[in-house]
Amino acid sequence: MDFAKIFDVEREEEHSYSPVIRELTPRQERRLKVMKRVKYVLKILNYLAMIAVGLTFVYPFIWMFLMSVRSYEEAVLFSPGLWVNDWHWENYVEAWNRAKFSTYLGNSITYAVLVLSLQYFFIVPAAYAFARMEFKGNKFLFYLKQLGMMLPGEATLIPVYFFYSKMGLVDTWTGLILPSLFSMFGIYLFMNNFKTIPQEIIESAVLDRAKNRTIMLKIMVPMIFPIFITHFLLTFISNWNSYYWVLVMTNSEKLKTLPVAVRGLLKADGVLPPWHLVMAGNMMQLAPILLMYIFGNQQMKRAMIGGRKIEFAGGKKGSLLKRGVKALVRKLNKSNVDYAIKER
Amino acid sequence: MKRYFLLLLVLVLGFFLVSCDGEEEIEGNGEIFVDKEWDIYPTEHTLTQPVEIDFWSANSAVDIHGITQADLVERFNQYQRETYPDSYIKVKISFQGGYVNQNTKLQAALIGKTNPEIAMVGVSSFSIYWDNAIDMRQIYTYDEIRDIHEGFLQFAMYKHKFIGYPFYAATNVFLVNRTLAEATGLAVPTVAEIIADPENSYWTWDYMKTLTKKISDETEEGVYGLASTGPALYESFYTQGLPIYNETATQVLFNNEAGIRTLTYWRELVAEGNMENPVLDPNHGTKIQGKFVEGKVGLLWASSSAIKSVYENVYENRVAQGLDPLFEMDVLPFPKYKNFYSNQSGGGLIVFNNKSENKTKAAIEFLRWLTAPEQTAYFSINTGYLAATKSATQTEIWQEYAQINPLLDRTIALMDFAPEGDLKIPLGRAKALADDDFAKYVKGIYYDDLTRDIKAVLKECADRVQYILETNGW
Repeated sequence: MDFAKIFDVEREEEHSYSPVIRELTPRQERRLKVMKRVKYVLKILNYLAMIAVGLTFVYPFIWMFLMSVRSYEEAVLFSPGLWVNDWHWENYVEAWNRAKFSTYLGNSITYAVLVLSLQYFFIVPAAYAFARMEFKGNKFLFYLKQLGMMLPGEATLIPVYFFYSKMGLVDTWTGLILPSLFSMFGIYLFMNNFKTIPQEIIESAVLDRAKNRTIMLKIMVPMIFPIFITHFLLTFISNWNSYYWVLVMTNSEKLKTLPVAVRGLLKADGVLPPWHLVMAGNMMQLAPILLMYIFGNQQMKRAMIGGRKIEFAGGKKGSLLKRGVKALVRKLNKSNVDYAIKER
Repeated sequence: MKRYFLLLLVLVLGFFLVSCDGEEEIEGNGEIFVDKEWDIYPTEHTLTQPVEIDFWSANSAVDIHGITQADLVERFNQYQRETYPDSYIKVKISFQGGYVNQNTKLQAALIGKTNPEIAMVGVSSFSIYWDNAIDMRQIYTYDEIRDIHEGFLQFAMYKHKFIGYPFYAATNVFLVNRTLAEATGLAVPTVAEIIADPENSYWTWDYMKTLTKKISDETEEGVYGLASTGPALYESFYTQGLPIYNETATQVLFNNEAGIRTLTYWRELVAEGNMENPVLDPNHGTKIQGKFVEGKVGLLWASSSAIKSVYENVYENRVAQGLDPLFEMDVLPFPKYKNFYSNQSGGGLIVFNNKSENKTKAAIEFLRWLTAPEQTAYFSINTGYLAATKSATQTEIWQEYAQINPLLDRTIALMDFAPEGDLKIPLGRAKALADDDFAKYVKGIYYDDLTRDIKAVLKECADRVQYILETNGW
């Protein structure tokens, strides 16, 4: 029964940390065993519930993928099942050709690259100014910008289009990327993070005669660098999937992006949608985002919670595979120790 | 404080004055065929220098409609370059991806005068452009207008102006699996029979109920006589010879005994097993199309624009591959109660009146070329939209196509069943919203295992639609 001894800390005195070794009664021992089993069952149930919830999220993607490789006859039945009779990989080639992917993919990449490469020239200084600089009309300008965020895009579309068309910005790359360059979401995100930097750091830089530009670029920006990755990922997803804005602000096909083309597949053959091609098109359009998620899911998760590191209740946790290997190594080590004790 | 108050007062007064803009009182929509000499735009090429015009299509560049339009535009441009090298017209087509987006952009563009010269607009939105469109009677002669099937002119007139040409014509029909329907032993009429003698046709709502019930009963499980996403508002009422709205389309008129009778009929179709309950599956509307192609539905309520693609899958593609057709497919109108009725859907073309003389002339020349019989037939054959003119169906290419697919021809023939006089329906946004809300709320008859009070459902529908009429009136 030596193994049944456990360590217990009884705080007899305020500063006493010496453990008191106590032997468990058989009843306590049985209770402990039952508790352990109950915990084990609960853990299994917890995992099952998590798997079930996970499946509800994964199912649409799997279904979409399977629809994309079905034949026309199978796809048109719109079955919710996950069985495919004949795999038609050629659907991807057909969807690629019918939706003129090579043209629209180039446009989507250009759009994303233009926004991602140019927006920081405007967002970061604006965020810095709102967060750290005192100037006349600071609050008024901020609230004005905030007001734009409150109004739904659809409500302002007609005046915005009117303004754009008068300025000759419709159907131009400049017009298309302009609002993203001054995105309130980006200004907010950077402004809030600039505000978290202690004032003392800035004051000491000021004492060293650093100018605003130096403080912003050499001190503050490096300190909030993870936020850039967060913002980069979120902006990429948002721009990559942008549909209505692109549809409204473009006329010619030379500027339209993938979501517009993929939607066109719905009527590729007329009124009856060729669902297999639509889903193949969707899969191809989603591919960059899915790849980003697979390779950078940790960063994506951080992005979703505003750049903070994810710490689980049990401390840092690696992947399931890593944890499994570690547990196996621990078990092997333990059995070696037991064997050594027995040998002695 | 005083200054702010004064500013506010001026602003409010400004808004008040703007809203006081007097609206011209014009009653009714007027007759299209007015016995009057119209000042028609020249029918020949009168331009002396090259002109470029914009044409906005509500389709997408990658769908079959958009591809066909782009092809026609390219043909026109080529024809112009070859025929008039010094004064050709160049049409630039832009695809807007849907009517909603198209309307939004057009309204903003019209304010800024950056609109195109010619655009595709949904038929129920014609009225929105009353102020901005050229009257089609200044473009087409009396005989040319008479060439259009009457049923495709239901939305053409608004406040005495012929606004849009119905180039993207469509209607609602029943797609029929004739093999399944005739296997019941009951007679199934043809379009030709119905048109020959509509007065004595046995194709009534009661007969359709009997036929679809028999299909459901006498076939394997999972096969239904009828498939629909819900009750058909316009067809159900107009075939009873009853209006849905009052003269000015400001009051709903379906919350009455006729309404109860209609909804009871549509609920019985589900209760008696003629059709599946459409509210049990959110994808019902999509699935029934697939089920029809699979041969598991006798009659499918569908837009005529589905005929082409469904027929290709049921018949054309299989025959081309040397296989037997899946079944014999046909079309039928909505059954009659007192009379038959074919509604009009789809879109049309509008020429805007705020452009320079040369650009307007160019747009009109393009419109005339596009709506000529050969081009109309070509567009219809390739897209499934219905050819709106009688002359288009007399062309060689149409006659050849009709040998392969006679269903479009039969559907066009049904357009003779147009309602007499003006359509008393709301137009533009109000119609779209009213139709949507009616379709949504009327499904109440199918909820709670078909136990909801029909009067209550009907009242809810009427209240919703009435609210829309009041808040979206013109």
